[in-house]
Formats: sequence, structure tokens, C-alpha cells
Amino acid sequence: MHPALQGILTIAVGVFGCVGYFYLSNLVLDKVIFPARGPNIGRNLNRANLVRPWLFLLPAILALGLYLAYPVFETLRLSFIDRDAGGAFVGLENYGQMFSEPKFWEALRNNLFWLLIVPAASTAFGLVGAQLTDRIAWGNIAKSLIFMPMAISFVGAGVIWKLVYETRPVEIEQIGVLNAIYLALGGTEPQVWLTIPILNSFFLMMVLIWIQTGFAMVILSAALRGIPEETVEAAIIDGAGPFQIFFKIKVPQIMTTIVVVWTTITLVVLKVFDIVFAMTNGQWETQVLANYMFDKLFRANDWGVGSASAMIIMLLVTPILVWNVRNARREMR
Amino acid sequence: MRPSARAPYWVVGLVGLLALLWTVPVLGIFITSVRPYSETAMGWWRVDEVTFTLSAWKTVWSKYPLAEGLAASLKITLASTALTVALSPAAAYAFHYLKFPFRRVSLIVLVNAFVLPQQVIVIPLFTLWRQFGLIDNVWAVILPYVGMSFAWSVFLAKNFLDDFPGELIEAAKVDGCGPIATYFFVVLPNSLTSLAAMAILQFLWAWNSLLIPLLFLRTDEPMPVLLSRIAGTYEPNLDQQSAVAILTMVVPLVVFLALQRHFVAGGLSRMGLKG
Repeated sequence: MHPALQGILTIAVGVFGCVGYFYLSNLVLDKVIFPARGPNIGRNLNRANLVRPWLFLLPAILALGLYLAYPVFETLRLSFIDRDAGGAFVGLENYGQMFSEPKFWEALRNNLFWLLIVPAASTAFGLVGAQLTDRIAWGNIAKSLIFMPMAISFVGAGVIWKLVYETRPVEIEQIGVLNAIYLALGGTEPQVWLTIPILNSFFLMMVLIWIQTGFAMVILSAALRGIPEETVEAAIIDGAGPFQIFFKIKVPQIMTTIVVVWTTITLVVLKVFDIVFAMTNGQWETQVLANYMFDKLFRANDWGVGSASAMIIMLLVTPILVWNVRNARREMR
Repeated sequence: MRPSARAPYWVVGLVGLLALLWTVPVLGIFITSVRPYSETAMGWWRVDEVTFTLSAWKTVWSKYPLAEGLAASLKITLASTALTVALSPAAAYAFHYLKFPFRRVSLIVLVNAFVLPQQVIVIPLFTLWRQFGLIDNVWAVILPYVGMSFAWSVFLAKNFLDDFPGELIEAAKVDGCGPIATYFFVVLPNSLTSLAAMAILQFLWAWNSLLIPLLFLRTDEPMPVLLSRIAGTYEPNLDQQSAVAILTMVVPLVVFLALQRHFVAGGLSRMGLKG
């Protein structure tokens, strides 16, 4: 079958399946199970309305159960067993093995670096973009440019930046922008940027910062516009300078939004995989937890340690999860 | 603070630097892909001699299964976008208008599910798909995309419904609409902006995902997987790598730029982003 036809068919099956499901299930509920006629009409109407919400929710609940609840517990279970020994329970052995590997500690250390730097830098750049572009004639163009990488995949961004960091042997011309600038500024010989430990992690982080800044900028820009004009005017009358207005009047008022942006980017950072996978694959001490897990799982074929490292990632996002749930409980009607 | 007021030089410089940092890398791969390698080997920014050529594009097109990759990406992305848009407003509608036990608890669980990392999900899903014989089937990718999207899409739709005028619902009720008719004929047609935002968010996320198709598909790999393979095989021809990278990002970029307005208005300002 032609691929286009196949694609259309896939979509049609999905959408009509959904519409059909809602329509038919409600029809059956109203006409067959609890028909709104006969002697029990009142009772039947009530019962139908009791069941109805679950019809609407069923796809979402099924999907969440299948894609979220079941896998989390299954991964936890897998991290305690040895698959090669016929699924025998081995307690914390997988974790012990993982903790004895220097690569794991390297990945954990790098994840912490990412965690400290990427959300901070993206939020800061985003704040600068949101505040300063308003004052320049071509500010909107700059905004669009900063916003654009949001649509680019992490892999695509990785390839884009690999060209920036590219190195050629010393005797020929450099084609990477970074080396060209480095040499123009008086560097003696071209550097192989992605193989310099510690420093190379920062070069990888730059890619994620490049992607996330646009997101931070848009959200913060909306928050800045929501600040009541009077507070700024009052500060001007009181003789505050532009820096004081920004740091003492504006930033405190959008603090909640800054925290939301920060935690959202933190979540992305904790799961970062694509960029490292596509650019260095964890070599030269750039390993991160998600890529470590992928290595264990599909290269070393060690499901126990792979699951154990997945649980470590889970453990790292848990504080954010708890904080989010507490916030949600407070706000939700 | 008016735009007309002259901005100090450091502001212009700083924003200029940011804009430059955000443009130069993209410009680099674009120019590299359309100039012969003999020229870009001196640095793609050099303008001593400028020749336009599509030879790298022709080479990658015949060398790698790019047409199939684009078709696979499009199929997976459109199907999961359509399903998300079809299913999540229904769940949001139930949460907003119908009363049932555990409503609050299930809502809190649902909207916080996006925090969970994909890494925790993929191992059991892999075994599950293998048992069902779904490995290398597009549904092995579409189903998780849709399932995981509920975490944020239901929240997005519910946020919209919270602002939905109750009078419209009341009017529909007075006119004799049941809950289903109200949903299809009153609520859905009036939520198009919010649905558009949801569709764009899901489109970008599904198109750009790497981990799930990397694990669950063998043939007919979507573009990001192809790109990661081509970039990872030490393909020394940077012009060819660049061409594939551009091909991977052009579709989401066009969708994004064309529909940016909806996206910002309906989606981003209300909540986070792709997980």
C-alpha cells in the first residue's frame, strides 16, 4: 500500500475509533443499560449520569495506567532482579554494581552540573531577552530568533552545534566557528573542544540552553507585561534607576513565574539524553544518567543496572513531583 | 521605558550578541549544505568565492532513506496529534462538568504525570510491545505518544474549560441538549484555539522525539532517529549531515512559525512544554 494512504488510514482509524467510542458507549449507556423510559426512569437517569464521567475518562485512565503507573512499578521490580538468572530476586545487588562503576558517578556529577547551570542560564537569558528586546526597534526580530530553536529537535540542535565546535588539523583552515574565533583572538592551535573533559560538558549544555531560552523568554515576557504599571511609575517617581526598577520592583513580582520556568527546565535537564547521545555519546567524560541507562540497557544488555539507573532519575525528579502535587492541591478547585 | 526612548548602547550590544548567538549556528549548517565542500572547507563564512549547489542534497537523498523517513515521521506525528486532540478534551470535559468520586485525586495524578521521566517507562513498555508483537509497528510509538501527552493536554483543555462561559452550556441545556450533544455541538466548536495550541505542542513533541522511536522501531525510522544515525556514523561529509539536519527541522519549524500566534496565546502562556 502507498505510504501516504497508509498514513491517512492510520489517522482515520484512530480518530473514527475515538469518536465512535464516545458516541456508541454513550448510546449504549442511555438506550440499553439505563434507558430513560419505563417505570425506573428517574433512577436510570441518575445511574447513567453516575457512569458517564468514567466513559469520558476511560481512554485517559487506561493510557496513564499502561504508560505510567505500570511501567514505574515494573522498572522498580526489574531493578531488584537478575534477568539472566531467571529473574531471581537479588536485592540491592544491581544498585551495588552500579555504585561501583566510575561511569555512574561521572554521569551523576555531570547531571548535577547540568542541573545547576542550564536552568539558571536559560532563565537568565530568557529574562534578559524578555526585558531588553522591548526597548529596541528590531527587538521583535531578535525575539523570534531566540524563540525559533524551540521547534528544533534536540538531535538537530546537536548537529547544528557540532559544526560550531568542529575541529580540523592544525595545518588546514578551521571550519568550526569556535576554533576560528579562538585562533583569531590569539589562540595558538585549534582545540578539539568536545574532547576536553569538564569543559566539553559545558559545550553540550550550551545546546540545551540555546533551545530552552526561547521558552523562558516567552513565559517571562508575558509575566512582565502583567505587572501593574503603577508599581513601576511609583518607583520612577521615587527616583529608582532602571536596574533598581528591574531587580527590586519587577523581578519580585514575577517570582512565581520564574520558579515555574526554572522547575520546568529542570525537568527537561534531568531527562537529557538526545543531545549527549547525538554529540559525544558519553565519551570524554560527558556521560549523563539517561545516556548511561541507554548504554546499560541496549549496548551492555544489562537490564538490572539499566532499571536501577532509571530509578535514580526517578528519584531525582521526585522532589519536583512532590512540590508540584502540593501546589496543585492548593490551587485546584 | 517607551520603545521610542533611545536604548543605551550596552542594551543594543547585549541583545545583538544574543541574536547573533541564536542565528550563527543555524546559518552555518544552512550555508554549508548549499555550497560545495571545497569552499566550506575554508570556513562556511568565507566569501572569497560563492557557488550555490544542491549536490549534497541530491547525494543524501539517494544515499539515505529520507523519503521514507519523512513519511514515517509525518504518519506518526499526524496520527498521535489527531488522537491527542480527539481524546483529551473529552477527559477534560468530564473533569470540569461532571461530578464523580475521586475527581480531585485523579486530576492531580493526571496533571503531574508529565514529571515522570521517559526512561522509567521504556523498559517495561519494550517487553510489553515484544509480547504483543508490536515492535517495529507504528502503533508502538503512537500509543505512548498519545498516552504520555494526556498528562499535559488534559490540563490544557481543562484550563480552557475553566474560562468557558457557563451561559453557553446553560443555554444548550435549556434547548434540550444532553451532555454529549453539548460537548460536540457547543464546547468543541468553541475550543478551537485551545485545540490548535494542543495540536502544535503535540506535533512538535512527537516529531522531535528520539528515545521512543529509537527503541521501538527498526525499519521506517522517523527523521530524528535517521539523523542521529547519520551524525553518529562519523559521516565526514558535513554538507551532507547539514542537509539531513535541515530536512529534519524544516517541517516543525514551518508549522511552528505559521501557527506561533495560536501557540503562544493558547498554550505556552498557560503551562509548561514538551516533556
